Amino acid sequence: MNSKSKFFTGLVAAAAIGIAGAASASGEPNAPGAHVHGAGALNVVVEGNDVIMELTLPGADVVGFEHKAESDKDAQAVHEALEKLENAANVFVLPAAAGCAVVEAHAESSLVEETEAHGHANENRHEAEHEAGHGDFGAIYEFTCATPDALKDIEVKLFVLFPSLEEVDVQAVTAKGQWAKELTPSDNRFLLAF
Amino acid sequence: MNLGTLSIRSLLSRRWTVILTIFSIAVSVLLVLGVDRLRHDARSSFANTVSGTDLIVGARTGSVQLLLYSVFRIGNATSNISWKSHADFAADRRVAWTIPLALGDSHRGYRVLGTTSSYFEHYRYADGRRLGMADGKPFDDLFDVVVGAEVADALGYTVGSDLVIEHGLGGGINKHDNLPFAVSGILARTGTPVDRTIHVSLAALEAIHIDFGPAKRAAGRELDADGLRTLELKPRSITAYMVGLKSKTSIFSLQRDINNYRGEALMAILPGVAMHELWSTVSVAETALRAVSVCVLVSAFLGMMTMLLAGLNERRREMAILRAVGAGPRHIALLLVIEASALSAAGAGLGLAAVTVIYALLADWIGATYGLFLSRIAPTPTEWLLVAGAIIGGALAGLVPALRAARQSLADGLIVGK
Repeated sequence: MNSKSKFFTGLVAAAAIGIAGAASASGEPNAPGAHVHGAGALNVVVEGNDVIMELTLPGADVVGFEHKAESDKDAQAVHEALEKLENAANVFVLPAAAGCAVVEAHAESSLVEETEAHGHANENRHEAEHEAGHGDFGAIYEFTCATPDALKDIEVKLFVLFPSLEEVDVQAVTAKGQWAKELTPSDNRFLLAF
Repeated sequence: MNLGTLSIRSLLSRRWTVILTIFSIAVSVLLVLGVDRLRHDARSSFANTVSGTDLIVGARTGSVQLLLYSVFRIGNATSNISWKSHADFAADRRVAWTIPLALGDSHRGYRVLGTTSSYFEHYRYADGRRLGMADGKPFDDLFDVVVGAEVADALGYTVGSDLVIEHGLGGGINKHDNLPFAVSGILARTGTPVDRTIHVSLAALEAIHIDFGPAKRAAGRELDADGLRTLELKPRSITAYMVGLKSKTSIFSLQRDINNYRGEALMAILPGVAMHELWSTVSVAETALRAVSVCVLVSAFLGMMTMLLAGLNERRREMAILRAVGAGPRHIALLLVIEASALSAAGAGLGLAAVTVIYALLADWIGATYGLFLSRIAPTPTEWLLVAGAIIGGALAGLVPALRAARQSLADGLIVGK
């Protein structure tokens, strides 16, 4: 894609967000959160043996649009993306030494109407739904790790999965404190045991 | 006589240029080390101030700004938040404790913080240390005041001392000495802004403002201390509050709920993340400062090189004599390298000593004025490494005049000035 056509896609996408933003703003009491193309957010909490990761991605980077999926093709793209996201192994590489197993992984998008229930909704899921606001994709992963102290060097593969993604802002909370890092395609690893 | 003593003697014979060169190296080493120390201390001093707090909640503003005014007492809040919203979230099932913080008044230049006993119970600093009382006890009566260690030192307060709380940020005419505030306790030193804070209960802050406000004048009577004690003083607003959670797993969901609170524009920040944001903003300036200090060091070495090169011409006779008594060109070169190393070692040593002395002398003043607590006075291993690096750099800088001297000494005879 040359830079000119990229610019126009950008414009179109920006217009789409403007509309989506205006539409959603009327229904909500508070201002919409920041929405930046190319930027995702990853919240990580480690408590005891539980590791919970919440991921938010802009629709523009996941499926290339941020309007409601109208055509079957759009809906198909969203469902494929959700399936990709629901496989935690597609998204993260956790160190083998930590002995982590996926307890649950759930993804959803506000671009499609939720018709079928994706399993029973627990509290965290509810929050992930809440987060997925303005044409965003949200996913939540829960792991149990035998040795959470070995959680060094976690690789985030989102940049391979969604090439237009430029950064992922990680916020991590563990018993030792809070910490943040900005991941980029060239620096896509972070460590939790700090 | 070996080469070492020879070069030292030679340097002594040119003492004035040598001393100036040593000074310029010392000043630049001082700059490099000083910048590095300040950077390090600023970070650890900030990082040590808040510990164990999961979220800080205030009016919607920048996250760094909220962190700065709520925890470090730097700057002021754009607006307060209602007591009701605090009560709502304090009762949330995910919340273990909250510490309300009400700022805005001062006493003789020190900030007055209105809070509750929860502060003494839950506030943690530096890896989970609790606040300790050096003397007395936390506030109990309406007019009890708990002062930080530095306030007590600077103003000479002991348990039982009377004080007058000023309305606003101080210096004004709005003092009211009819309210009998007295020191009930003095906190142990923490090395954080707590040391520079005066703590009163939220009710006491309300009392100051009732006494001051139109209500009193409308009633047309002086409310005395006992009258105020009988009133039910409920805080209407606070500046911010700290939140501790039962389980860290709910941190992001509570943060979202606070940010989406319908009643008012609230913001919840993760202090550790806000701190990270602050450092990434500041790091550009830090890098610039370091670059400048390294440039100054390089220019000092260039100055030394110039001094040695310029000196070579005057020292042709010295070199020729050395050659005549059997020194080879290699010895001459080595002599110059030893001189350069000795100069940079002296300069670096002096710089390190200067930074240590300045630090020891200014630590208190910087702590009081800027809230930066300079902890370590003795040089660290990294600093020794830096000094070693400076000496090696100096020796390398000495290679240029050394090679030139070796070549000259081959060409020159005993008779100079042809």
